[in-house]
Amino acid sequence: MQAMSPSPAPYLGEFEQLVLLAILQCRDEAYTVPIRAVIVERSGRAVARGALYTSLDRLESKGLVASTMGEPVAARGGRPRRYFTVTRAGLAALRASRAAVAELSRGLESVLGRR
Amino acid sequence: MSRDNVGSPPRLVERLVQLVAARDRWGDTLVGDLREEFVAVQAARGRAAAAAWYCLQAAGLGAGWVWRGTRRIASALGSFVRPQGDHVIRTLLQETRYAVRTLFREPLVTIVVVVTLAVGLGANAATFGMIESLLLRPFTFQNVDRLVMLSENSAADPYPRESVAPATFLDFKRQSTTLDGVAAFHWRDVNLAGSDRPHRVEGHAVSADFFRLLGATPAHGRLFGDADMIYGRHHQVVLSHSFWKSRFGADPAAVGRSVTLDGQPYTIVGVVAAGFDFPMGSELWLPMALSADHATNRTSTMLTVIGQRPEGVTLERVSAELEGIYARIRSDHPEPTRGRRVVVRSFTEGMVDVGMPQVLLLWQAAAVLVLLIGCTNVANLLLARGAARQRELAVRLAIGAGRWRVVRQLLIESMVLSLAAMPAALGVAALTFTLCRAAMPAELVRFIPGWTAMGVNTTLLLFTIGAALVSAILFGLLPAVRTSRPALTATLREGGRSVTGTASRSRLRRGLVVAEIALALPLLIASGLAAVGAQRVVNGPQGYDPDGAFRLRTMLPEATYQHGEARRIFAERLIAEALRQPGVEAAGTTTILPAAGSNQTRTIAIDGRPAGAEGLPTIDYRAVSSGYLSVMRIPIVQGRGFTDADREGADRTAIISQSAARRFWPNESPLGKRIQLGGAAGPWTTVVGVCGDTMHDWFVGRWAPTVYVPVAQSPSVLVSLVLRTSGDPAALAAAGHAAVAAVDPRQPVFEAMTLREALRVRTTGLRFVGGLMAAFGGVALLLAAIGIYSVMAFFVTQRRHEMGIRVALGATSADVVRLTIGHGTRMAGLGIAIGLAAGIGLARVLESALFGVISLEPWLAASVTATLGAVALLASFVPARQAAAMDPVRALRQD
Repeated sequence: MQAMSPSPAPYLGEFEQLVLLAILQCRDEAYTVPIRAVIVERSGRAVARGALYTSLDRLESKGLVASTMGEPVAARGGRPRRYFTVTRAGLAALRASRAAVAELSRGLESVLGRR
Repeated sequence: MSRDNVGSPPRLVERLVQLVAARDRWGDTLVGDLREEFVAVQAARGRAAAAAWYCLQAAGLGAGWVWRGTRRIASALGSFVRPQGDHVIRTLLQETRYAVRTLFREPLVTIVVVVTLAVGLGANAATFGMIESLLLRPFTFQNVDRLVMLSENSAADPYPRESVAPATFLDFKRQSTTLDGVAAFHWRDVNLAGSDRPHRVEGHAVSADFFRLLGATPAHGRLFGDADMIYGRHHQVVLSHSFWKSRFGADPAAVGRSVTLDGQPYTIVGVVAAGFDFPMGSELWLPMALSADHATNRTSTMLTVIGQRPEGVTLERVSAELEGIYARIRSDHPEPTRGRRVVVRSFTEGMVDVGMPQVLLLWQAAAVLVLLIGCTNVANLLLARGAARQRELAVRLAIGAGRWRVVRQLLIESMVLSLAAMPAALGVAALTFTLCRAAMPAELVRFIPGWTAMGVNTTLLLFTIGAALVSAILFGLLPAVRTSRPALTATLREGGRSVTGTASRSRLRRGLVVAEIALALPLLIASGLAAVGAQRVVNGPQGYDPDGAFRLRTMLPEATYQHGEARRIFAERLIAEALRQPGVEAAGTTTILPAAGSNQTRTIAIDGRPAGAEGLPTIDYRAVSSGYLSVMRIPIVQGRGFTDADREGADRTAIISQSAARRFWPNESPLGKRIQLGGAAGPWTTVVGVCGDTMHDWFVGRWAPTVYVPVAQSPSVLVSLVLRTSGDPAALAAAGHAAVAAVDPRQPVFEAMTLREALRVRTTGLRFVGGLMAAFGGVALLLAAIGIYSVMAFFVTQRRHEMGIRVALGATSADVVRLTIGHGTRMAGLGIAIGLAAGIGLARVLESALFGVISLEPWLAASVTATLGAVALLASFVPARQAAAMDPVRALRQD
């Protein structure tokens, strides 16, 4: 019975949040190249390929994302793409993290500025 | 599809990326991503830019890959050294404490190990200390690293000191722009007239920049400047601090006072600050004022020349500049510079004695061998103890200690042992220094820069710690790895009784004994050769009779003995006065005696033979009284000796040594041949006799070609007197002094001693070589004996049970002895075979390093080998006897 009780959503690092958000942004085209491109484009920070792969690995092992292999693609020298989707647990974790940030930010608008 | 055909990344680079990424589970994705992005970049910026972009990406990946690999190796090493999850220091402390406790549990083993290591480490510390003091840092002048020594000599005579002619020095000084000052000096001992009796003082003539370059400062008065170097105004003297204290009672008023040196008045202008006595324990310095004649002299290469490189100017640059200057000198003055070249060395290298590096490295090599033998012994002991500790280790392994953890524990024990030996090792080193100091005659110490500084210091401490840790790994690693791999179940089941060392372990132990013998034999051969070689040179034939003779020297000042006639009369009267003294049976004079520490040479030109490209050959030169050769008992082997007829005005005559006859007249008789000594300007001299060779100097002057001329025809300021007696030669000291005083009471006498004593002093270095090598050899033999004995004893103990069964089944005690000794013999035989090969190789190296004092002698190698073999046999015989004497019933019951 105890096993059913919901465990608190795992803590997400900042980069993990960015990766999850980028996957969501990419919708059906969420494989490594566009994910990285979206993060670079929207957050304006450089992302090492290795860091992205490691992060995706970690997120998948935590069950926050799931991946499927696509068909071989000629433009990739015949290699398949690996598509990612955010799981329900991933969404929950993302929401919790964002809520925590929002909660902690409340009342600090004068300092942080309004978005 | 059309896009795909546009192109692909540089193929080789992509292949490399694939290779690097192959083992990564993201590898395929990575290669795919890069290819996809490459296509996009190419579409946007063109092919070249895309290729460059791809290479950059690949380089980044490669760098990351190397970095991660390094980190992984480092962390693997780290986890070996550092227990994971534990506090590093605490764990290490714990393990160290445990190690110390373990070592106390078996104090005897610990003591044996510590003593062995102390001897091995101590020997290395001592030799390293000598290398440090005598070779690496013999001088402590400021900027000594920037001082250089310039030499102008032929390739055949590489001795860098006293090698520059005065005119060349002046050219170097005037023309060099890279050097920040050039200075010169030469030996200039003087007779100091005093209140009681004349005194011989060790002095040097030095140029103006000498003190500045060497960083010497005055304690009183001033040092020399350019004005003091003007010939005629040069009667100034600077005293060393210790000479000022001993001779002038440290009286500051001594500065400004006048003293009489070589019969001339000199003014004391200053006292140099305490501690400065360069070169070679100088007691005073005179200005090197060059007369007009001297300043243009290009033949007498008598100056030692030093210079200072400014910061940032390399030795090569100085060298290049001086070679340019010297090339001009050579083209302007081709004759006196024929065959010569300029060489720039570091000051320290130039000042170190010829042969010193070889001798010191030989000692260090011997010390390393001793340490290795010691380490082998210790490794053996630890293996034996490891066998006894099987159960303890098996338990630790069984309850989950990692193997590396056990290895680490055992290594820590080794380190503790090694570090425990350190104080004793430093003690051994300090003792060695003390013994060396005691054995070194005081009159020689000043010739060995750095000798007095030799001692235990921080550098030596660090070296010893380093050596201790390296040895700990050397002797600890094998036993640790081996011991940490016990057959767990077998060991635990047997209730902890030590198993008869697994087959591989006893192979290892046998291997160690073989290694030990193989290490000891070369060292024994080398030390035997060095000791015998030294003994032969010191006590063997010298070419003259060093017993029953007394010698002394005096030096006639040029100022008071200006003309040859006065010098000739001095020598003649000295012999006459000496023969009048009681106890003196024969007397003779020469300019230079054998084993005197100095030499006199002349170029030799032979009638009818023009000089070769290298210029004229040189020959050792002595001007002797007519009776000198017979007083010295140097035999005449051909022709005649000198007589009183060979005097001033008569035809000039010479006697040459056999080696000179062989060298210059290999296929004909030299008798009647005409030679010119001292260059083409010298008078013609006829060879009238050939005499035996002498050992002038063991180092470089053994059986050197020598020419003797009558002092009556070539008087000299150098006078050495030899007196022969059938009584005690030491008793002739008073007679010698009296004879000199009778001729000229102002003349100081020095180096007055028996010929035997002079020889002893002169061969100190060689006796050191022989003595230390013999000590190393003795230690090696002892350690090897202990090693073989301990292994044999261990085998016997381990095989008690087996022996018991054998005896019970009818083996006689002779069988048991044979079994055990056979074991030892096989190990010794293998070790000897390897060691003999190494020993012969080492002896060949020694032959060339020690100037032929040592030659590989088969009888010596054979007897040393036999000794080691006998020791090995004896070491296995003792345990064999014990095994044979064992009561089988008891042996069986014990197990």
